[in-house]
Amino acid sequence: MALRRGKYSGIWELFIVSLILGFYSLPSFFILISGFFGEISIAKWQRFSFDSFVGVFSDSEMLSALYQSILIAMLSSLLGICLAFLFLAASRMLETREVGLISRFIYLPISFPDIVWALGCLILAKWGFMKTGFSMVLLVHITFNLALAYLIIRPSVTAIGQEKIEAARDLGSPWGYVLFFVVLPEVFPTLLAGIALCFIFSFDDFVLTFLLGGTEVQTVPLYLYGKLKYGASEEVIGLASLTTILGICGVILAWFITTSKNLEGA
Amino acid sequence: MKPTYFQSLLGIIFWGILSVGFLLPILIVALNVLFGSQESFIGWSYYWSGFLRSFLLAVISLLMCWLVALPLISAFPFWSQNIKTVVFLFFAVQMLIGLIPRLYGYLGAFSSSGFIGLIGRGMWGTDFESPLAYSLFGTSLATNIIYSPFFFLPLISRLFRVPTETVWAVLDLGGKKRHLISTVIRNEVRWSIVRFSSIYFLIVFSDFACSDLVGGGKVDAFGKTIYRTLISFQDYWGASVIALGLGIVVFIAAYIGSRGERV
Repeated sequence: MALRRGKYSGIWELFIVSLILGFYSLPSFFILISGFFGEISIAKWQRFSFDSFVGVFSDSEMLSALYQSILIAMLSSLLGICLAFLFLAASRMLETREVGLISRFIYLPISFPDIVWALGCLILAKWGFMKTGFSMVLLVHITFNLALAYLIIRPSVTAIGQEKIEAARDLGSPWGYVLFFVVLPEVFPTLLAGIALCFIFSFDDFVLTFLLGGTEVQTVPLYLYGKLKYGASEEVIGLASLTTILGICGVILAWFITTSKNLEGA
Repeated sequence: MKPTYFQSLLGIIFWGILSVGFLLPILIVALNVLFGSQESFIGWSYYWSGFLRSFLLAVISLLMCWLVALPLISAFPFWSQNIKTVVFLFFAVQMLIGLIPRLYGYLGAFSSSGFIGLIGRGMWGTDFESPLAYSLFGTSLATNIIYSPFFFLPLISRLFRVPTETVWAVLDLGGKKRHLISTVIRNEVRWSIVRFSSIYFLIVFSDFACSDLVGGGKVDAFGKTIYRTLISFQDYWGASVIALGLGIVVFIAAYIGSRGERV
């Protein structure tokens, strides 16, 4: 609810909101629109078309980057979400106390500077314990998504009433049944939102993939980075615009899923 | 399988991935500081100049953040729920649009060949060079735009939690808007600002992509400094010392912030 709407809302409110949103959205808005003109320089915007988007799907190098990005993002987000969900659900069903150590450590993969993390992996590779490339990129993405998924899912899992689990158990349901028919439906929207967010974070990752991917990994951000340094074609701008649209859709999807669940609950 | 065994197995997998994927690399950085070879060490002066440049970049960027945060904090409690949600979602969208496409957009909008350049040439002639790209100020602005969601999203979440009834009570008791901000809201978000500012500062300080693409050869952030020492000089020991220092600062910042919020 707005406070004293008559007194405090109005032009001043609109001005501040517009200023903040306009300032911060300018680059995203710009790249989004550039996709429809196939040109980053505003002076060369001439014809509105979808050619740059169509061009993305006819360039084999670009498609390969897109495929690798989707593969890494899909695998890491699904594995991260499934493992985090199963672990949290098991803790909830068995009423075991949540390990305090996890709560303290779980923030670190998200808040730690990527460059430090990547440096550790590079030293491991230098010492011969690991190899840079697809498997290492996948491992760090799974770790990141595991931490992110844990933080996203935990509030929903802890909100499940213990009495529901106990009632199902008292009526003779096995643990697997409780997991799939009592716990899962309760957190399903959050799981979907979590998958969308983990997927996008993984899809957009640049620093870790850039440093650990070696020569065999070429994701969309790496491809765009290379092209940005040495001149971009119409298709590259189309790809950048497409990834922007993907990000916007992901957030809207996650928001829609979580709010529709809240409305149902209300 | 008994459920307790199942949970233990999941716990082992969970910790296994976290340990191998994250904790082990961080531990290795620490071990490399203690036992790594110092043969390729290029000297502290290189790192010191990199530190100063990154520090300056991060300070300017953080100041820009505070410049926007101040009116946001002052106005936020008075906005309707819809506007609050729109602002929150807006920053969430910004966070989830890829870093590189947004940098593309930044250069398109703010470089000499972009939107600002077009306006500048129209106003000041063809010699106009945009100061918003390939300069310290431009890179600070770029980092501010790119990384601002890491500051504003948690801050907005914190502002959402400011109790509305307390705000109502202050206003009902005749308190002015400035009293409300200086008493209730300031106390509620003070430690959050310290915490998010330190996180934001460290993100900008250890940045790689913005300083590389928007800074050109003129501006460095520490991520770029570390990257260069690894690629050009193979100085793993020096990079590890710096990286470990950065990691310790992250720990301290997170600890101070969480302690302060509890207080």
